[in-house]
Amino acid sequence: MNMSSKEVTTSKIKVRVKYLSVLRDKTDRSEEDVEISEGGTLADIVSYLHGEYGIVLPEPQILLVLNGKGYNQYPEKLETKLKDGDTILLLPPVSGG
Amino acid sequence: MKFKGGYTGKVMRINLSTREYKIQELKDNEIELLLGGRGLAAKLYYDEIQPEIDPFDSENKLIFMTGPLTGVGLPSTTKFQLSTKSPETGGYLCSNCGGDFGPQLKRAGFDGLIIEGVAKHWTHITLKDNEVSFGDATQWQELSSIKTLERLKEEIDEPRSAGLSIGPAAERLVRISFINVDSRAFGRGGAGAVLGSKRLKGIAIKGTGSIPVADPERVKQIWKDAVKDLRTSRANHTKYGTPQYIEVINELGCMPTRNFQTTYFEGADDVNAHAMKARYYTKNYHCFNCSVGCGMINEVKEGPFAGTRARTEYETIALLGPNCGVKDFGAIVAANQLCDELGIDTMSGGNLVALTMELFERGLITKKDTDGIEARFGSSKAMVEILRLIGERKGIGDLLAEGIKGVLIKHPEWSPYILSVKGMPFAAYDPRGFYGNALTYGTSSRGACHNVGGWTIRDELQSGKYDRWALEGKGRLVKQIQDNRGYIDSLGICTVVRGSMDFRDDPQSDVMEAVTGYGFTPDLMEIGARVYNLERMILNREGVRRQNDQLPERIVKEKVPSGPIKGKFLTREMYNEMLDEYYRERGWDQDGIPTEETLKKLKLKDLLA
Repeated sequence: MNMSSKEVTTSKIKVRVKYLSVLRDKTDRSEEDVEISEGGTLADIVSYLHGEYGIVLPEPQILLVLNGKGYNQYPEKLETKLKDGDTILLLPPVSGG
Repeated sequence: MKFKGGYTGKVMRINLSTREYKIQELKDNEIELLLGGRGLAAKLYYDEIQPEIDPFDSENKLIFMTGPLTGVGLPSTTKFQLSTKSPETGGYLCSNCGGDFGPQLKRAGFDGLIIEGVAKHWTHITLKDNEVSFGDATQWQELSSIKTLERLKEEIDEPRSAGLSIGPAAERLVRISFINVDSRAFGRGGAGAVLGSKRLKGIAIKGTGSIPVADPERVKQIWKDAVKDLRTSRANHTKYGTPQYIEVINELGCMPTRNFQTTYFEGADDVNAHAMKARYYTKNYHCFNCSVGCGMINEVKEGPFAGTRARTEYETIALLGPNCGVKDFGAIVAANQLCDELGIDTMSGGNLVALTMELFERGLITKKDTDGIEARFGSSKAMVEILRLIGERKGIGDLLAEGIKGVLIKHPEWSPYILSVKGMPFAAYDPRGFYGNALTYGTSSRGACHNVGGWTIRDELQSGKYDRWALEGKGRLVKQIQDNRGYIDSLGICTVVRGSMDFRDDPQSDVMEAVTGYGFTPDLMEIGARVYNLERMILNREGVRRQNDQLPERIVKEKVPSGPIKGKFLTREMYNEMLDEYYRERGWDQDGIPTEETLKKLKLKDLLA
C-alpha cells in the first residue's frame, strides 16, 4: 500500500502492520506492508488505519504495539518516528484467565 | 454471624475412613481477615496439613472453599477453591475452578467441604443439602472422568445437580491427575490423585436452599450494569475465548515452542482462533451465571481424529500444540479429549510430552523407552500416544506419571531440558519475553503458574509504566497483581469478569456491601497480601527458600534463538535483581521469609496464634 501520492520525490520507508485476533475481522487481512514517507511517525499509520478501515486510535479496546512494545511506552508516543522494516501489531487488550 | 449475606458460616467435613460427617462453624474474624475461598482454604491447610505429610498419606485432605460471591446472582460467580498437598510438587497447592459445584455447595448450606481419611474400597459420595450418603464405586473403576460425572448425576437423580470426578489416571496415582468439575477442572498440581489415593471416585451435589444477600435490589442492579459492561468489554472472549491469544502471544515472541527452545511457532496460523472458528468450533460453554461464555467447544469433523470433541483453551493449545511442534488443531482437540477421559492436566501433560520429544531428538531416550513411538516434535500421533502412556503408566509413561519433579529426581542430568519451578511445569508463556512473567513463575505460591503468580503481560505491554524487558519495578508490579488475584480467588468470581464489578487494584465497597452487608474495602488488596503471606508461611514451613524461587537453566542460560525477540536473554543475576526488589516490596528477608514486622502488620501473628 502506498499512502502518499503527493510527495513522489520523498524517500519512502515500509513498515509491516499485522492485525491479530479480532482485529483481523475488522481489516479482513492478517498483515500488510504500508509505505510512508521517511521521517513518518506512528500517527501516520493511525491516519492510514482510519482512512482504510475506519479504525480510530487510540482506543482502549485496541492495542498498538511497535516492535514489541506498547506505543505508550515510547517517550514520543504517537509521534515516535518509524524506521524501514518496523513491525506494528494491532491486537485486542490482553488479560489473564 | 455478623454478615447478612454471601456466607452460610458452615463447613461440611466428611471422613472417608469412618464414614462420619459433621458440620463446623466458621469464625467471623477469620472471614474478615481472609474473605473466603483461597484465603480460608489456606488457613485450614495451615491448621490441618502438617509439612511432613505425604500427598498420598491418609492425613492429607481436600479442602474446598467457596467465597462470599460464589453462587450469588452476579455474573460468573462460579468459582470455588481447593487446597491440598500436591502430588505433583510435593508442596502446598491452591487451585481454583468454575462449573456448578461451588454454587450448589453454597445452596446446600455450606461455605466449604473438607474430605479426609481413606475409604476402604472405591466410593462415591452424594451430598443433598446436609444429607451425606456413601455409594460403592467399585464398578466405576477405569471409567473416564466424563462417564463418572454421568454416573454421579444418575445416582443423585436431581435436576441441575453438580458433580466432581476423577478418571482412571488418578486411580493409578498419576501425579498430574485433575479433578473434573462439570467439564471445568482443578487442573494443576495433581489434586485428582489425592482423591485417587482416598479411593473416592466422585461427589454429586444438590442444594435446594437459597443464598441470602444483604441488599437484593442493589445486587440486581449491579448484575444489570455488569452484564451490560461485559457485552462490550468481553465481547472478544465471547467470540474467540482464550484461544484469541495464540497469535497475540506468538507475535509478541513468547510462545513456548518445542519445549521452550524458542518462542515463535511458525505453524501458529493453523492452531489460532481463526482456524478454530473456521473448522472446529461448535458452540460456547457458559459457567454458572456467566453471560460471557468464554468456553469454546470444538469438534473434529474429518481426518484421523474425526469425532473427538473438547473445550479447548489457550494454555492447552499452546502446550500441546506449539510446545510439541504440533500444528494440527484436530490433534490438539483429540489430545484434550483424551486428557479429559484419562483425567490428566493438559498443561503438565503438554510439558511432559515436549520434554519427551526433546530427549528423543537428542538421542537421550530411544524407541525402546517410548513403547516404539517415534517421539519427534511435530508428530501429532506421538503427542497423543505419549499422553496415553502417561495416563496408563505404561513404558516411559510410568516415569512421566511421577510428574516433572519425579522425573528430575530420577534423571538430574536432564535438568537442562526441564522447565519448572517448585515441581510445577511452566504455563504457556516464555518468561524471556516478559521479565515480570519470570518473577511470576519464580514466586507463585504453587510453582510456575501464570494465574496465582500474577499475569503481568497486560501491564508490561499496555500500561505505559513498565518496559517488558526492564528489571526495575517488576517486583512491585508482580506483588500488586498477586495481591489482586489473592482477593479475587477468595471472592468466588471468575477473573474474566472482575473488571465489570470494579474488582481492580482499588476496589470499591459497593458489591461487598450489597452482598454481605460489610464493606471489607479498602482492605481487599490487603486481604490479598495477607493470603499471599499466609501461603508463603506454609511454603516456608515446607522448606521453601530463595533457592526454590529460582528459574530453570534454559531460561537463565540460553538466548532466544529465533523469532520476534531473537537474542533476548535473562541471566540469573538479572533475575535475582528483580527477586530482591520483590522481597523488599513484600517485606520478606533475603531468603524469602516474611519478617516479624510484616506478619504483625498483616495481623497474621494474631490470626495464627
